[in-house]
Amino acid sequence: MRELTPQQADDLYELISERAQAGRSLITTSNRNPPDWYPLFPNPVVAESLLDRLINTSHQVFMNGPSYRPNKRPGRVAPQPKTSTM
Amino acid sequence: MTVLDVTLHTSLRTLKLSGMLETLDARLLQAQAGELGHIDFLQVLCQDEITRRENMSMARRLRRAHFDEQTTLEGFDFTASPKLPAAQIRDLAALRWLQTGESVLLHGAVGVGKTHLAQALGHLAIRQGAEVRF
Repeated sequence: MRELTPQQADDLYELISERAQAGRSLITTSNRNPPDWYPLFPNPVVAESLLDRLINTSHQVFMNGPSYRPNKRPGRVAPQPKTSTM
Repeated sequence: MTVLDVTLHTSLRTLKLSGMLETLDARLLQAQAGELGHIDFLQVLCQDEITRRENMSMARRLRRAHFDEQTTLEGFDFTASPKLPAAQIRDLAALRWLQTGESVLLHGAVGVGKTHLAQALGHLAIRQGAEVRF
């Protein structure tokens, strides 16, 4: 996740506040901890207003562990039980 | 087919009750075999129609969600890492946050399944009748 341009920040602000006003849920995914999102916004006021709303009305799930993607690499066969053919 | 049958088929089609139309012959056989009374017959036909509409509605909502791939919580490998908060994830699967309009923020390293889980929760919400957009 890179720093947002003012336009991107405004669009995100609009999206999140509209969902909040309509009482609708959002599911987001991010590589950063929610508190680390603040410095990504060019305008700290927008960041504060938006993130305060989002972070305080949400369930935060920290997912940790090794990447699962190597298991899905093309050409990789699913692990099979060893059979003795000798 | 009798004239009455043809009329009934036309009526069901006009009323867009194709769920009833599909099962009508089978249900009629059941009724004639004495398995279904008048009220039962009507009730099972209505239920067939409701089932068809629910299936159609769910298929439509799944299409509109534009998921990258259809992932489900059943297909989520909780054993991939002991560090995954399995209990919290299973608790979120009850979707209580959806009724109250709360959000879910999934954060963590790459490749651990954040997007998979996001889509799986979306899939659950659709099964519960919600409109979802990925």
